[in-house]
Amino acid sequence: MSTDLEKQRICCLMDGEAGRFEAAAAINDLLGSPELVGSWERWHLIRRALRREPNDLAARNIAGRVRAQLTATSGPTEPAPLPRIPHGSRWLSAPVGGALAAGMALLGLAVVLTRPVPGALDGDVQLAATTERWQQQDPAVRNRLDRLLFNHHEQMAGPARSGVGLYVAVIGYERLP
Amino acid sequence: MSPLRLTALLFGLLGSAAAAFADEGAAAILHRMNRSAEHVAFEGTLVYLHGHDLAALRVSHRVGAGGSGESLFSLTGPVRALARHAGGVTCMLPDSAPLTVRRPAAAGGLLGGLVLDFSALSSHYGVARHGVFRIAGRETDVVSVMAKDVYRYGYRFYVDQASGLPLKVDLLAHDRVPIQQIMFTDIDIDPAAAPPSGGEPPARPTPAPGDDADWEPRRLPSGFAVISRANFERDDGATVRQLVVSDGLASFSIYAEPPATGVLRGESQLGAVSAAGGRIGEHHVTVVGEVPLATVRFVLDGMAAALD
Amino acid sequence: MSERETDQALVERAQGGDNRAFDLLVLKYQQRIAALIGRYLRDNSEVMDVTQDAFLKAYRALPGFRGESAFYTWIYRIAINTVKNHLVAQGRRPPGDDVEAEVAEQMDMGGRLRDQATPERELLTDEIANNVQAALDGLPEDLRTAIVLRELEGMSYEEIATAMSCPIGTVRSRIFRAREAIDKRLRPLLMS
Repeated sequence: MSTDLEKQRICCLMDGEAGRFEAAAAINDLLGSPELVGSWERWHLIRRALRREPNDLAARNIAGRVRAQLTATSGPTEPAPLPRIPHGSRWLSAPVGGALAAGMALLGLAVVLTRPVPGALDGDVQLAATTERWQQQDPAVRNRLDRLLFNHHEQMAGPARSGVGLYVAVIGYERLP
Repeated sequence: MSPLRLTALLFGLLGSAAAAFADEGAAAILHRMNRSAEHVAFEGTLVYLHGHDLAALRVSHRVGAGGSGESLFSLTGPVRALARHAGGVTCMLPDSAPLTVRRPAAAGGLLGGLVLDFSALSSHYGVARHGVFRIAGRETDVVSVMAKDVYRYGYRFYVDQASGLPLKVDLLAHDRVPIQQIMFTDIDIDPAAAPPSGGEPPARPTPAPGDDADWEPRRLPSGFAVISRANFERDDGATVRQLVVSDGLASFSIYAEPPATGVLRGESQLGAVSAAGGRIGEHHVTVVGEVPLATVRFVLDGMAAALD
Repeated sequence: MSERETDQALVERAQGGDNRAFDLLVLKYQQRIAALIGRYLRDNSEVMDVTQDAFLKAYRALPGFRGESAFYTWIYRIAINTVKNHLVAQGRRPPGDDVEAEVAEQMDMGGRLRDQATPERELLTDEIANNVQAALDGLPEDLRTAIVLRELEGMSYEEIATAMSCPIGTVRSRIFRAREAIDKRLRPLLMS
């Protein structure tokens, strides 16, 4: 029996109002519940009716016919495991441009970009010198201070706790030209 | 610049000390915020305002059986990115080679495990609730934690009613003027990852006295105490000793190491993070943390004076 | 996540081997594609056969779908090609007045691509439409307003919240309850 919460989530999904996490949860719910799939189909039909768009009762069988045909031709398919947080569609595969991508690749590090990468990043990325970080001219001093700060943050936060707040200044700090 | 760090620290102690708050509602909100910092996955865009400079970042925090992790990516100015993962932190900054800091095996999540006497803490901060405000299209409860002296910052948290996450954090000077503000403009929160119900964090053992009495601070600003000690190796093999100091909300570290090139001599700031460094006897000492410059200066000066 | 992004997420799951995700896309679009194909064919069983064929073609082509266009634009093109090929195979001349896919996508922004129903299919539609209208009329004012602003005016939840002076959470709840109420009224007809 699906809960109202799950159904409300499906509602938001079909209206394009679910956030990414919520959408992922709603899709997972849908894929695991014939009852919710029924609501999904009927709610779309209701949408068309409200908009005075034609509904054909016979067309309600199309999905079943397609399903049967696919099963007959390829046999039952093994669903891929559902990631708890699915790939962000185009987001994750979007190329990260310039030196950043190269640097991260060298590090073997996957930075999770969760939105389409802005166009500016696809071109030449200028890693302009920001000499005022820490107000120190010597890069070695800046580097050492960053290390000491990171070490302090990690001691405080540990592995599980969100460190977003800890590092906002490190990444966000910039002086406008 | 860790308003959220403080947030989390704050809540580490709220687990046992919530009742000590003058405002029970504020205590509950802060307590929930503390737990959310560990258990709620999210991603979003935030803006970071410091002084007259404004930056935007894309951030995400993942929680799962495979471990937690997060990323920050600048959307303005030179490209900067940071990822936290099981092994530590890797960072790309515009003016240096990629920087990786491994998390020490003993690193501890002091923010989550710290248990302090809140009655002592409340002598340095005042906590109050300020109603409801809308951030990123979501309803938040506003709670302020105001510093009572110049050795710590104050905070104003806008805590999401649905998830407990702070959606806006203002860092305030002693005169309550905002020094920096961090605010989500949009955020997507995993509804499946609700923070678990309460439970007090385990008590943290009092750190054993150090053996390097010649460089350890003789005085600290009122309310601050050493809460942890650690050693790690520098690239050249020399040992760097670390003391973590906190008042229960604000924190900084004192590092002592053999003199070397590339160390800080004098004072420096990165946003609201302050640092001061200098030679203390046979050691080079650096004090760094999200505290006012007055605090790191006080500590370093006190250490130097002790040798005179 | 917009409707287009939701479709893309379902496509990616289907590309990963989960046919149930493709099934959700078929359930979402079967009426629209059938109505589209119905503009070219008069016989209803022929419409259903060609519609099914269009979805099967789409399924086979799915590995090549990269999301450069909306899923509906893509399936629209496949459906048009399928029905035209069908007409050619039958020795009939396909009309050349179909809406270009890009235009269809633009028109689709608010989910407002109006399909042209034949009188026969309008009759089949009537019973559903009448029941939906009756259910809508019977809704409490706040639920009816929320669902009308959403489905007929195409307003976002935030816009509806502003218009109705209530939190977004209330809008979510109202739209859900409205759909459930209409669904409850319609279910006996659809299950029969």
